[in-house]
Amino acid sequence: MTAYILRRLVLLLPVLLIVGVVVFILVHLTPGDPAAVMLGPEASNEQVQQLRDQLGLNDPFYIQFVDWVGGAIHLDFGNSIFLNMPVTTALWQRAQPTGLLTLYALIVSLLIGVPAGVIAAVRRNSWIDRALMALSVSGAAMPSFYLAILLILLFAVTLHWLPSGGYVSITDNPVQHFKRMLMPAFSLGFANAALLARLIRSSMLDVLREDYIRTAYSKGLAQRRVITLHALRNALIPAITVVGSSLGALLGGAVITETVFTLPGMGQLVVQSVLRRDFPVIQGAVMVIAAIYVLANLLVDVLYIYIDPRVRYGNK
Amino acid sequence: MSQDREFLTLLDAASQGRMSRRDVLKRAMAVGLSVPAISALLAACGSSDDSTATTGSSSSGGAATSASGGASTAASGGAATATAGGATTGAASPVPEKGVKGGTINAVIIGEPPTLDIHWTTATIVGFVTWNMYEPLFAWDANYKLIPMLAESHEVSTDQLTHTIRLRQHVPFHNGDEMKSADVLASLQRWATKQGLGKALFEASEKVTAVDDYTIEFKMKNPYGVFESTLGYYYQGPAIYPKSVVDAAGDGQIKEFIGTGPYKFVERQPDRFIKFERFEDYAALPGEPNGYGGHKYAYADQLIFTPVSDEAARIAGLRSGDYHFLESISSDQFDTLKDDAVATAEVLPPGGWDTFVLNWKSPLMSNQKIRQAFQMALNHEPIMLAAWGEGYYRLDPSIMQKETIWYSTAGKEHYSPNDPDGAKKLLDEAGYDGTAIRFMTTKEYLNQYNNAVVCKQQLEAAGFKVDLQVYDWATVVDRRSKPDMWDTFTTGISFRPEPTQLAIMQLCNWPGWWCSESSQEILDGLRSESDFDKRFKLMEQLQTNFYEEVPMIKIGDTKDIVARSQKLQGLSQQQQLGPQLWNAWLEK
Repeated sequence: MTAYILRRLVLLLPVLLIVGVVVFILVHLTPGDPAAVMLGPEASNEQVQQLRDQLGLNDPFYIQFVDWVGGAIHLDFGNSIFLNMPVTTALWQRAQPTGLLTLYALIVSLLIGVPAGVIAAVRRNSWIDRALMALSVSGAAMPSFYLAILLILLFAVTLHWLPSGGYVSITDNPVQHFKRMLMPAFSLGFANAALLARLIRSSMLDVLREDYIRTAYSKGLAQRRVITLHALRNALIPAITVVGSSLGALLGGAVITETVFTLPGMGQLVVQSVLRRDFPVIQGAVMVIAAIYVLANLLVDVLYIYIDPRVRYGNK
Repeated sequence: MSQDREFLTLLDAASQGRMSRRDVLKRAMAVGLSVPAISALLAACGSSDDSTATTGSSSSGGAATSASGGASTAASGGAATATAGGATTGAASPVPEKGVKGGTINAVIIGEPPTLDIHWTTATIVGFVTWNMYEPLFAWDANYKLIPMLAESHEVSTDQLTHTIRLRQHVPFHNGDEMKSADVLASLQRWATKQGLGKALFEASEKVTAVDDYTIEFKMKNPYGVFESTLGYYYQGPAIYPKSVVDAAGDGQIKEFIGTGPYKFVERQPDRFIKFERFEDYAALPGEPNGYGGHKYAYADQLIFTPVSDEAARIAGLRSGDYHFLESISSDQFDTLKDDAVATAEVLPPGGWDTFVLNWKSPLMSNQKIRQAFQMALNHEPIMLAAWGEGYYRLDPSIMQKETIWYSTAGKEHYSPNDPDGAKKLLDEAGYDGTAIRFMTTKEYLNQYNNAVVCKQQLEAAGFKVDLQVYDWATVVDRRSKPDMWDTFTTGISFRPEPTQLAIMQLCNWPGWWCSESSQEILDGLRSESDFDKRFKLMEQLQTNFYEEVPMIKIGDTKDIVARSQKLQGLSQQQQLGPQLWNAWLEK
């Protein structure tokens, strides 16, 4: 098991190398000059060239690449051109909002999606099933930014119950933190909850037809016990893959949610950095997101072992 | 009777600047004039301040100010000094405060400023944020004339070659140190390495010295008419930092944000907020607020600037009461906000103009006839209407806006000619071979894209072929610096109170490359001349050239719409250079 995990971790390196090369080339092939963006629209060409020299942007492409790889090996992604701070610091500052937003969205999607899927499966073809699935289809179809704007209009503008945006760290003020994260987490988690509910419903239906469920009922076990202990555990296995890969979707969705709710997270950092042509930040952020994605998949594979003892890796 | 005569004599002396405020006051009290009479005399003293000895003499050949923005007072070689204290007020002490002290003003900016070092960038957002904590030597008043801010006075020698700036005393920086000439010199020298106008000023000077702790002297090689306006430059302006901050910065950006302004820097968390708090030891000028200068109240305890890139989120935050001020919103939002219970929106006087820049280095646009055909083909009304909507623009030929003293209609016959047949004729004469115009625009600023789409239709109707290329703004900015990649692009020219400071006056050094010897000559004259009337004539010549040589097309003036909370009061409508939050307050 440990050997398997180590092997997967070692495989992370070539993945990151390929990602790094592709991102570096793409970023540098894209037209746009960070120095010109920084100096403003009315700066003279002379000023722009002066800053380009200072930032090393006039160095040949291969020298910039070697410099960057040399730093990246030591987890030093250079300095942000625009923010005037190390890229790692900028990313670290943004990690908390994005990490917590993704976590809360995941919790929201599990809290809504799993019970909805189970209830729909158990009450198959009833009005509850139909209502839940109709909600689920519309939930999956509704773009998260649209839901976000509707939530803001209702809860911030009309009712004044929640702030419209902004971020407060959980350590600074937990109450304000949760008030500000409630709407973003819900708008981001809802679409995922809808997907999850449909998935859990269909895999529950499969499991509920299995012999061992019939056996459990015939033993005289209560329905609640059969469903939670016997059926749900097996129905969750395909759901875990979806939850794992939905982490990527949530991170992607966080870009939009963070913009609408003004959360200073990694998503917003990436978007802003692209507009500002802040090359080092774009490169660093994409590397980190790629690593998170790969590690999340590894985590899912490891979780399988605990949920389904039939799964074994690396035993030859 | 004798009192009346004395009053008239004093009034005459005061209004002509022959006596200082202190002398007028002494004499008036000695002859026992009434309080209203003394007030009238002090008002007539205008800008004279008792701490400065006047150099007043109406004889010709005396020293003259070079107040280029407000040069109407500085003509004819008669002696005069510009002094601190608020030119239009004349009051010796602050008037009672009208606003409410306290609270935190939450202002929204459309993105994160690239830096808080204003010497570093022309980005307007940096000026908006940082002029709350920094101050210049000269500031623009309510009529866009220059008045001293950190300077106390500015004198020019009779030969126009020596400029002496006396600094105000006992002005503390936010770190507690007093501002002295060493700080000013270090700041100006550093600024000149970053900013073209500053560089030009230092290149034109023979020697710049700190004569004593409160005096700076510039010895110029030739008369330099734009001396004061250069030091009053706004967007990448010469803010005065402590020398220690300048020294610590080396070639890079400053590491500490310290100025003399009414607010001091507290904290910056990029993409989250920038926080300032009132500087309790702020050395406010006496009198009333006057444009970007004069007295600054600093009513709010704190100013917080939050970058919010999404307009819907900005509006929602304002309507829910989280924000108090939005720097600019699209006209679509105006109707929603003007009837809102919490917020309100205002249309401001124009703050800039839209333009199509033509590339003098491209094979196509280097042909003057083709540029003139481009100009002749256009009807500006539908272009501005598509870009901004009814009521949010002004059609006007002057490259210096009506709100300034430089307004002129020279060349207006070439403004919005709407003559496609004439344009066709010019194209035939030019031998236009049907090569498509590479027309760059961006959807990031939707008004620019809409401008370009309507312009394209009009050009095509006149026989041009147009290849509309839509990029993100950063790409436009990058490509426009490469002469072989484009023929025209859309942009906005931001407001300047002084003609030589318009972006296009970089002539051959700015994308478009307006390399015209005749225009360069006029511009050189405009820079060296101090007399306003002469400068105005030169400015009109330059505008005539603008319409004949066609470096770009001025489409029309654009009005800004700002939105604010109904609680936010006291904000001046004068926002062409940025809002003056230091004099705004929050109603409880």
